[in-house]
Amino acid sequence: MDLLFDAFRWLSDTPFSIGVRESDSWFSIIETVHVLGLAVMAGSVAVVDLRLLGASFRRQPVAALLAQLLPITWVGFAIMAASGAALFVSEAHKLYGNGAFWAKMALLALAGVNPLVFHATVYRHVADWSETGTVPLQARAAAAFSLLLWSAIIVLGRVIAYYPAGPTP
Amino acid sequence: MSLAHLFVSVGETPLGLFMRDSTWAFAAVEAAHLLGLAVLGGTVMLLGLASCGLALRRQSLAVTAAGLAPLFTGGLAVMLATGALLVASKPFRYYLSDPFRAKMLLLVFGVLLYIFLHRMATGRRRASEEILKIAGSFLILSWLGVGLAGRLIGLF
Repeated sequence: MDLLFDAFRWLSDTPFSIGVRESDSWFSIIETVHVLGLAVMAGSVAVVDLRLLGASFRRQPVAALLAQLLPITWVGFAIMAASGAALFVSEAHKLYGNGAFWAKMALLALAGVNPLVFHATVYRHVADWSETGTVPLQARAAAAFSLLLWSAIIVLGRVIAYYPAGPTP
Repeated sequence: MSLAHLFVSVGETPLGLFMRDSTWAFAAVEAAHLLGLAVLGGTVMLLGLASCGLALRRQSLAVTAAGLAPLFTGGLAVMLATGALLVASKPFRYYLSDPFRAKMLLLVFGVLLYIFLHRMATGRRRASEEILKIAGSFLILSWLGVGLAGRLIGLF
């Protein structure tokens, strides 16, 4: 894994990374943009998940709501990915040994696979259940899993800043 | 009782003392505050964008507003409860913080604007598109202000 560490080291030595680290405010600004992207992305994902679980927009057809929210989710994702990448490279050398960072990346990968499986399986027959009151169990399970995953990702994102010393009172 | 006294006495409640003395309680409540932000922030963005005609265009604004209302209330409840606990951990620090004061003012404005927009969207009389666009833009701006001020509390 030395190669990976060298890559992380190299990333955090780029002029961009050094510039962010040496500035008083850039890290906080990018962090704030990251949290803004979080609201747009996780918020729209939560609306979709809660619809599948029957907790919101119950009378709206699932397919129509999902199709309309997907572009918003992608916009949020773009903001998060760009700002997240900037945060990552600016302290890559420190993140290499950060357990919370690796856990977050692993859960992000899962959160990426979850909708792929959802769309390839139960969502292919969405026309059969979109306008009926009952959402198939598999779709509800995917929604609950997604809510859980994103909650954990958000919490881990916060923990990264505390790792490994823990919060200071 | 003055506002300063109120803040101090909140910090002296058993819950306030627990929040002050426990290292992990603060972190855990902060994380829950962030989860509330995801739901509340997302809801505000969606209603604001929909009012401006930039999102959820294939359903009426009334349907959007009605569907988002429980998420707004739920997200706000989580944020207020966790926010109060965070304040209780260091009441005087928050009392003296300018960004905190700005955040509270913007928060009141943001909540009132949300209720106003919700009523306009679900009311029987159709509001003009221009008014909805203006209200929607101001809704997003005011809540961005709440978030920004919140971030600044931690920096100053």
